[in-house]
Amino acid sequence: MRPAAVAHYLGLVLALLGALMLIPLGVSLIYGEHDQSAFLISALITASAGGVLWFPTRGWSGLIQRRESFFIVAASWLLAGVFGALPFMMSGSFTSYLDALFEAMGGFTTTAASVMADIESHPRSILFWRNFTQWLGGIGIIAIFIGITPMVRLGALGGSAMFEDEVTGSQANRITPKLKDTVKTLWLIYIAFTLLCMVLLLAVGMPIFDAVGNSLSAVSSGGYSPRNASIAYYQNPAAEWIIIVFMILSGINFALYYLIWKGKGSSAWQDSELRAYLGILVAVSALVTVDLLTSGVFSSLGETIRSATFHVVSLQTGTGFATRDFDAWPWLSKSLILLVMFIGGSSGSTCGGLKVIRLLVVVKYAHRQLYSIFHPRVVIPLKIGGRVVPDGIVREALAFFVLFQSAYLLSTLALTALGLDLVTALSGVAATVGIVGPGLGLVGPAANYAGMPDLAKVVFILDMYVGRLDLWTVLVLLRPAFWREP
Amino acid sequence: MKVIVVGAGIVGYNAALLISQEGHDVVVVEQSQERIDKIHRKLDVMTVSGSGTNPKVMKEAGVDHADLVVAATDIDEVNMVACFVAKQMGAGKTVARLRKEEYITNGGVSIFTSLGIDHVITPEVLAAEEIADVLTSGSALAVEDFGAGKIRMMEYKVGNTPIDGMPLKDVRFPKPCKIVAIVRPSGTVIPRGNDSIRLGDHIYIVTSREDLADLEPFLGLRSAKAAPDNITIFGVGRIGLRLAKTLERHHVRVKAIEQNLDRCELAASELKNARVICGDERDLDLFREEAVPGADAFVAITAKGDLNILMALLAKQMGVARTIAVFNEPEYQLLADNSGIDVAISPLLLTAGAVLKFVRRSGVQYVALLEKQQAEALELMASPGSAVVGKPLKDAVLPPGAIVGAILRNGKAMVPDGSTPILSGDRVVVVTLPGTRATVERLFSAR
Repeated sequence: MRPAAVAHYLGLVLALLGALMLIPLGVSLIYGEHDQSAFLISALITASAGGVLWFPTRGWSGLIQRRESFFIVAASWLLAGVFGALPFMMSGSFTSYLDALFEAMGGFTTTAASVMADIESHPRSILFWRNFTQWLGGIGIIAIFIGITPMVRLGALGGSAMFEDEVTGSQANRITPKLKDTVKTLWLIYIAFTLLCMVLLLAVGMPIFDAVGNSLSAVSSGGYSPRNASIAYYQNPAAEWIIIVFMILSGINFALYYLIWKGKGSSAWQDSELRAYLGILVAVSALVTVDLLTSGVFSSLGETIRSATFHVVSLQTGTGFATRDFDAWPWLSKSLILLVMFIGGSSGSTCGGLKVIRLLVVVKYAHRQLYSIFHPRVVIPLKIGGRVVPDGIVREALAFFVLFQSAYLLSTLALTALGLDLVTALSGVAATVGIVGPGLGLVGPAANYAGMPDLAKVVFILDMYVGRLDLWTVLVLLRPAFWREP
Repeated sequence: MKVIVVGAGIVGYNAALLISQEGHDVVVVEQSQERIDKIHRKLDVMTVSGSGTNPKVMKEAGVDHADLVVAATDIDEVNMVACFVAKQMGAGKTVARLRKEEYITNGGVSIFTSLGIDHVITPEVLAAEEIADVLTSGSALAVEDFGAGKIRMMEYKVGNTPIDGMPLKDVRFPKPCKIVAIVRPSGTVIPRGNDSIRLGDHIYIVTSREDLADLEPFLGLRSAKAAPDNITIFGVGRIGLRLAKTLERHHVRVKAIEQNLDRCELAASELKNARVICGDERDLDLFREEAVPGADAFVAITAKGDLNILMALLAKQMGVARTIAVFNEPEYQLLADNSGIDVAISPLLLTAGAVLKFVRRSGVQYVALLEKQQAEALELMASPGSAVVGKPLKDAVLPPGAIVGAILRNGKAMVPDGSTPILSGDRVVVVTLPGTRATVERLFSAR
């Protein structure tokens, strides 16, 4: 690994992040708040740190190697959290840097795990920054960088590899021949959804600041809300349905929207992952509805269906908005919610979790293995949507499944060792590795992560980080051989 | 421009690399998942998994909007069908990589048209032409023609020359010429007046074709007038036979060594004067007795790349003045570069480079790549109203990474100096580093 190559790109990414901090500064000016200096200083520190890395390496050009690509992506996200925490500290919203870092990582990773007490007491610019980090994290820091940088040849210089290391799911999302065009198309879709969500929320009577913030967090499947009571604050069924729709949209592979845009809607609809994803959403929502009806949590059918659907969608897509305290629901509903948190959305979406496509592969693989016990000579290709899945993808899915579970178990072990109860530990890990947000028990929707011990917060931060980068990008850095080999 | 490359072997991969670096949209159609994974990480292109002969796959690749389809698999019939399918589905131009003699020789034209093939490209033909060019042009390591053959760019390794270390602006060349690039281990330089050449540098020099022979002795090199008379060709496959025929036309005495008797008989019947010797290609006695004596150039073209490198090296050690090894394995490039062999030629890389001429940009007549793509030579048409027209060269604000080598005006080649103006309609040979290519093209195109 060549330090110059790494420093060059990390410097540029930091400079970009510093520039982006000027946007909440604008919000602060609009609302006449008194924390402009917090954003200005944070932006200066971040941009200068970027400058220090970039300036000595400004002439650098060349091919980014495999190893450097992994490191640049992993370090970019870590640095985004480290520097993104600065406005929280400077504005005085947090006194502990660990808490500020937690909040920033919860933002960039689109987890929405919060340690903020009494959200509404904070300045609007800070609340906007929380939503904005989620929006940036949803499309991806490297994707933003690739979209903005004038380096047209970046795609051939290793940018393609960086983009793949950041994207969630096992399949690359290349929808146009040139990387830059692909990234720009994804941006356009993302921005269009965000604006549409904003307009609709405004139309059903949500105040403009809230409509902007909630849209940024819904489309990115983030989940930070500018209100203590999250979406429940508005008591607005129409707004809840709008948010449900946009959360569902954010959990679909963005490449499919490009297909639809190109007039190939029917082939997008044939996508097995899309069908499985929607199938799971509908089936689990129906089960939770029945469970809630039989246990009589709500009085009206309409409210039951809406609440069940809202939370299943919110937690499967890893958004983390809440309208009810689902921690008080019956156990069946709670375990179903844990299950969908584990599965997550589609590959190439803004969601975390195992991803529906990997679930399909793993289930089919297990089925094939089972069948071949009695028919040892049988040849069954592993097919999804009528197409044979390449061996490499099958192996990736299996290995991911194992690693994902290991991450769960190890984190849960660590948290129980720190004295957390099993429900809190297990659901907290599910909610952070799956980049969801609220879990059950002490980290349920009615509480948040503020009461966790410091070491537990560190574990959760790592879980969010690893979860957003789809495990691999961070885990390869942990292999000693990664650093030893030339 | 949208380009589809079918097959990602050595030809397809490198063609996709070069075309995408030119800034075009490239889609690669390939069946092997392993190759697709490699492309994904290394090239800025889109991939589609499947066979190029499958209309469904080609539709997915967007063949109906493609301006150019390059069928580059190593199976002729697959390439033909891929071009046919592409043409039927509305592709623009098609290029097929074909090698079998029965397809590429005379009478094929009408077949190609009805098959939807616009251009045929054959690695063996390209390699034979390149070797023949190199052998018949003195000490050149590589030769490239511009301006309808009137202008030549040659690569040389500088020998003992009186101008060693002298600033180029003080050098009085015996004939007008321009040194357009100097390649050193530290990198490629586009020389200015204060730069100088040294023993061992690789230089690219541009001049009119007839003046070359007078320049070579000046650079401490053997002249094209003293082109080799006796050439040994080791291995008479498709390239070897084609090369032997070309060399015979240049009145060179050819000796061909081949171990396959059938091929020997074919070669002996098709060649006029060449002596064909049948024997084991690893028989050193045969090598010592037949291959080396009297030969002033040795070309190794068996099917085995490693053997070719070894035999060329051996011939060099036994005192043959110029040795050429042909191989396709990219892994051997480094080995060959440092081994002492004079020229290493890869038919497949030549083919990938040759595809570039089909993805011509507006105003660009021809593109040639220099040493490992570190620079390229463009033949540009100076458009009326473009920024360079009407000004003396020194005022034409070419960026520091670019240099004008020669101009073809009214069918005559000329080497310009600072006071020469570029006129509209001139065909200008410019050598540029990759970073300044876009600027150069902008300067030459109509505003």
